[in-house]
Amino acid sequence: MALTRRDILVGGVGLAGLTVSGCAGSPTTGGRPIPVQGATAPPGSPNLLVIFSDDHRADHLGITGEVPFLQTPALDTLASEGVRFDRAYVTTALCSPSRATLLTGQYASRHGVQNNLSAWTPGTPSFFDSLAAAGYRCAYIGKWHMPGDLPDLPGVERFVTFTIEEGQGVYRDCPLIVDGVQTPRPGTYVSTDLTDYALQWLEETDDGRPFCLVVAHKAVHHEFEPPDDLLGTYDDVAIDLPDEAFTYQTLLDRNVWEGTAGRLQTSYRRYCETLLGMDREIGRLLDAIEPVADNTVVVYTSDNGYSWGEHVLTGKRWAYDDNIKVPFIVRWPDGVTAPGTVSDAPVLNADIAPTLLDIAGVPIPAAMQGRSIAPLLRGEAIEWRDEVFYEYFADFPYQVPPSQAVRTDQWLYVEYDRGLAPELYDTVADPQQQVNLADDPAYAATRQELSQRLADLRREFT
Amino acid sequence: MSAAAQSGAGAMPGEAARSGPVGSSSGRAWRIAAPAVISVVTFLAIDLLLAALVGRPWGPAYPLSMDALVLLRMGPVFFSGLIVWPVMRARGATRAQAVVGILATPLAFAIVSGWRAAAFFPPLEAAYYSTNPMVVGAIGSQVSSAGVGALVYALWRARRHRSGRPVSSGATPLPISTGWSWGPIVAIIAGTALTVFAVIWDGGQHLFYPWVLLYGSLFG
Repeated sequence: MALTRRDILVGGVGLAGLTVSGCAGSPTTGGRPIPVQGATAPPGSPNLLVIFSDDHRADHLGITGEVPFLQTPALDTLASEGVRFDRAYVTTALCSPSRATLLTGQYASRHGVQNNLSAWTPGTPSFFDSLAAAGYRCAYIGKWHMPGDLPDLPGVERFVTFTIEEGQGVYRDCPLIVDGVQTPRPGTYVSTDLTDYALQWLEETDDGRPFCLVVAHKAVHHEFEPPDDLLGTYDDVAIDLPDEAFTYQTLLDRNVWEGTAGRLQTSYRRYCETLLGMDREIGRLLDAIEPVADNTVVVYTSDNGYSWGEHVLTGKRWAYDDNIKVPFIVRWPDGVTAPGTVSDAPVLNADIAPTLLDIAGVPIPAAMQGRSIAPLLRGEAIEWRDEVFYEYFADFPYQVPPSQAVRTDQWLYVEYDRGLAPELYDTVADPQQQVNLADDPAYAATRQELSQRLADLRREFT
Repeated sequence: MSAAAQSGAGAMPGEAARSGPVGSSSGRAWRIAAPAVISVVTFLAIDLLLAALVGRPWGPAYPLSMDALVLLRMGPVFFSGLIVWPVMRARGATRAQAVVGILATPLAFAIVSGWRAAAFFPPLEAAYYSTNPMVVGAIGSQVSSAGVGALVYALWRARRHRSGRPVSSGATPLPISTGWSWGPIVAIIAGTALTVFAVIWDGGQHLFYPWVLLYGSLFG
C-alpha cells in the first residue's frame, strides 16, 4: 500500500486535532485493541475496506431511482464499479445482532447477541482474528453498539468507537474511545470524525501489510442530524408517504420509542440529508484510497433497513422487506467480472465475514454460517441458496414479537411467538406486503410448504 | 333549575352545587369524580377508535383524521389536569381526591400501554412497561396542567370577588382576595421539569436508557 500524506490531504482530510491512544483523556476498562502476531501475508493480498452504516434501507440509493430526489453519488459510483445485490438481507433487523453477525458470520442464535440488551461475549471469534493471523493489519473505527462493557478487541491494531447514549453515539461532539482512551471530540461531526480517524490510521500505520478496515458509521440512525451545510437540503422536496402512513404515527405506542417523535416528514427529510452527509464522507474515504483502489475490496452495507410509514411503522425489527433488506455493494477490481451489474442472488450480512476471508485467501472457520459470495462476484455459476432465514428476538420495550421468517424470491412467510398469527405475502404480486394471505384457503398449501421450510431452516441455523 | 343558574351567571360549572342542596352521597361523589371519569372515558374512546382505524386508509381524509385522533388522544393523557383539578376542587374534592383525579388518565394510559405490551412480553415485563417514560411524562404534564388550572381558577375567583360577585369558598386553598399562591407555581415548575426530563430533553433518552437498563437488571 502506498498511501501518502499527500494522498490523504488531497482526499480532503484535516488531520489536525485528531488524537490517538495516550494523547488525551482517561483510560477506559475496555475498548483496547489486542494486536495478534500474524504470519506474513502473501504479496498482493488485497486490502479490505468494509463501510457499515446504520438504518440505511436498500432502496435509498440514488442509483436505484426509487427516491427521485435522493443523491448518493459516492455509493452510486461504488455500485457502478462493482456489484450491487438487490436482494441482500440481514439475519436480524436490529443494530446489535446485525453488528455481531457482520463480525462473526453467524446468526444471532449462535453468536448470542440477540437484541440490544444482550452482550457480546469477549473472545467471540471474528474475522479480525483470522485476518490478523494471516498477516493483515486491522482496525475497527466507528459504532460498536453492543451491550455490556466495551470489550478489548482481538485482531485489531486500532479500535475507535463510542459508548455515549448506550453506544448509539451522538452526531455532534461525540466523545470517542480511541484505543481504550476516553477522547473528547468537541466541534466535530461524527461521520467526518470517524472518516478522519480511518484515514489517519491508513496513513500512519502503512507498513506494507495489507489492511482490513471497518468503518462503522452512526449515520443514518436517529436523531437524524445532517451536517450543518446540508440541513434543509430536502426541505422543499415532495415526500411520498405510503398510503397507510400519517404525520403523527410517530406517537403511536408501536413507534414512540424509535426516536422520531414529531412530524414523520421532517424526520424523513433529516434522514435523507444525514444519508447525503454520510455519502460525502464515504466519497472522501474512497477518494483517499484511490491510489490503492485496484487492490482494495470495498464492501458497503447497513445493519438493517428502516420503515418510513410502511405498515404504519417507523423503525425496523419486523420481517418486512423495508426492514430486512439492506444496500449491499461490493467493489473488487480483481474479482468482479462485470462491474456495474445488479445481482438478484439472495445474500446475507452473514456472508460478509466468510467473503472477506475467502478473498484474502484465509480459511473460513466452520462456525461461520454465512457463505462466501466471491464466486458470485466472479460470475461463476454455482449452487446458491434460493431462500433466506430471518430471526428476531424480543427487544424491550419495542412492541415487536419474536419471530422467524423465510424469504424466497416470491414469498415472505413469518411465524411469531406468543401466539400471534403468522403472515404470508406474495412479494411479487404485493411488493409492499400489505395483503396477508396466511388465512386464505387458496394459499393453504403454500403456507404449509413454507412453514416446513421455515422449520428446516430453524433447525439448520439456530 | 341547574346548579349554574342557582349560583348566578359566570359561575364555574358545578360550583354552586356544592353549596346548594346536598344530594345523595353517591351523587355527590359522582359530581366530584365526573371530570376525571370523563377524561378517562374520552381517552379510552379515542384510543379504541384509533386502534380500530389505524392502518386502514379509506381515502384522502385518512391521514388527517388519524393525525387528529393521535393528537386528541394525547390531550386527556397529558393535559386534562387543566380542567380536572379546578373543577374537582370547586366541587369539594380534597387535595388527595383531586390528585387521584388528575392521575386517573395517565393511569389508564399506563394500563392500556401495559395491556398492549402483554401481547409482546410476559405479564411482569408488560407491567414494567406500564412505568414507561411516556407515563412519567404524562404525570408531570398533568401536575403542571393542574397547577395552571388551579392558578387560572383562583385568579378567576379573585376577579369575581373584587367585582363584588358571589364566590364560593370551594375546597381550593387559594386565597380569594388575590388569587395568588405558590402551590400552583411549584406544581407548574415541578411538573414541567418532570415532563421535560422524561420525554422532551434529548428526546427523553436520559430516562429511557436507565429505564431500559433497569428492565435488563430485573428481567435479563
